[in-house]
Amino acid sequence: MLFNEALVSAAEIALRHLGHEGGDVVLVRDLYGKIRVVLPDDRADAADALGVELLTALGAHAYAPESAFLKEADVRAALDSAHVVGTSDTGARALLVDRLLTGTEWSAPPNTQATAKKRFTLFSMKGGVGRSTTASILAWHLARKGKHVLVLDLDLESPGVGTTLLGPSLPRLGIVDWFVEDALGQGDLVLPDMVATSDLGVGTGGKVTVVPCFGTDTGDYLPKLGRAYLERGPTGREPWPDRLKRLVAALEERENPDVVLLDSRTGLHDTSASLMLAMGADTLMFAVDSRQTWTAYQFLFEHWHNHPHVREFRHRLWVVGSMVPRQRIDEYFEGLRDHAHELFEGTLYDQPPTPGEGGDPGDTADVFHYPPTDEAGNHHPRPVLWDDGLVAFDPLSAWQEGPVTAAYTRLFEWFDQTFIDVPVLP
Amino acid sequence: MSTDFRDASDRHFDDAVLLETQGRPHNADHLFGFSAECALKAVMVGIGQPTNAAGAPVGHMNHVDALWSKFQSFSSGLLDAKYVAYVPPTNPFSAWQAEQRYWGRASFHAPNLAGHRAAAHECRLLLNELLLDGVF
Repeated sequence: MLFNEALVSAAEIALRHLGHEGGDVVLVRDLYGKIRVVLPDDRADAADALGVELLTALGAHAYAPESAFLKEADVRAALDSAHVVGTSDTGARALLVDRLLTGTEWSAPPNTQATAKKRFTLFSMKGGVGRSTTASILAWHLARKGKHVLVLDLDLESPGVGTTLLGPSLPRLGIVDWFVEDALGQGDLVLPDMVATSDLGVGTGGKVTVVPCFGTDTGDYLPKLGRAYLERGPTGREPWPDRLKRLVAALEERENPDVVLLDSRTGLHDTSASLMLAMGADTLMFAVDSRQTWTAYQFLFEHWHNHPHVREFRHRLWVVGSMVPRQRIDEYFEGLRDHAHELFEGTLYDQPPTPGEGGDPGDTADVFHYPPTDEAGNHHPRPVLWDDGLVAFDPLSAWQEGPVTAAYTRLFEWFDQTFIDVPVLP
Repeated sequence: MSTDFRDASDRHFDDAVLLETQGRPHNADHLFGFSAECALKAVMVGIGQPTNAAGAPVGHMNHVDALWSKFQSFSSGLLDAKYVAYVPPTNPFSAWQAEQRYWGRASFHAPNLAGHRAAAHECRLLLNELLLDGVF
């Protein structure tokens, strides 16, 4: 029996042996994908038969009968992470405590507390789609509107936007230095030396401040990168997203920006999940209209479909259509839009409201759903047009403002209307 | 092979708590140290450090006062890093010695007991993580 079938089978067997009306049966799937059952203290009588049946059915995904059970006390602290994986006819539920080595952050609760600053995460499922270039140009655009923009390069495995925006004018240290020193309680020593101002903001009326992955004195990068994900802060064990939250909050307090742009790494990495869920940010999700792109996004959205807190963050996910070709643009865009809609329709969007009598659209107040052509929909791609000037884009050298601005016109219009030019209520 | 670090850690911890509650802090302190030592050795064996014929991690025939730092120092890689994060890098047993079983009661520094108990407890929480992960 393989991974998928093992869980279904284990849930069915455990419910049959231990399930009772309205009660919960707890399974633990370990790092190897092997499944054990939490045996209630008063159900020792069920152990022999249950242990044998689990081993017979699950094979390599089971433990030997004498090791097939955990005690209630063993899992008490981990029960918060459990989710329902099966139910019985009597209403008993099978809960799964799923132990992962990485990837736990995609299931974490989102940060729903109001953040001090407007934060935006730029995420792409595939590389080379102009995500970091957009971070640079968006920072410039916002600076021209008089904003102070703080850009963090959190693509630690492939540093980019920091050097793009700063060129040789890097600060002395960078984000990897902070994580290494913070674990020893010395993060504050790094903080003043990990920020630099980009020339891109000069003459704009605003300011672009950048926090790169590394600085001039970082030295050998890999030994620091290899320590950057330690889940320990100065006061004890601390999940990485919480460490990142402390870093960003400290930088915001120090620099007092209007807007914070967080450039994420590519793909389904824990750090990307942290930037999308833990930071309380709106996320721009970059996509080109390709099968690889939608397949990868589908994995994530299907996982989030079952996220217990999905209603708290799904409305902050926005599709950006990147590198939209100028040739046959309408045809391409419609394909992009429809594929994005298919992605949302089966996963994060609610069922469309049921129309009432006489053409009444029905009660739409609490329904998160948009038709494919609705430009207000989260799925509706905000386009960035393809432009030769964006290839190997270097904002610190001479570049043609006109074509670049034209490529971003629609994205910036939407961004400004949605996030920046919003009237402040008295 | 009679070595079972996990069970030994539980046994020492439970006995230490019993002694402490009955007003026997000196031997309680002694056993909290051994509980932590056994827990760390259980983790080291669990994450794949080579063992000798007795089932102990090779090259780490230390008590907790020295073992704590070695546990930190030899950890490398994703799995090790996950578990190292559960215990503080600063050695809470630096003032603890196996030889204190020979000491007179007046030589014990009573305030150390709480820190040793807390650290031994953290080691037990760490052991529970490995248990749920299926590393044992």
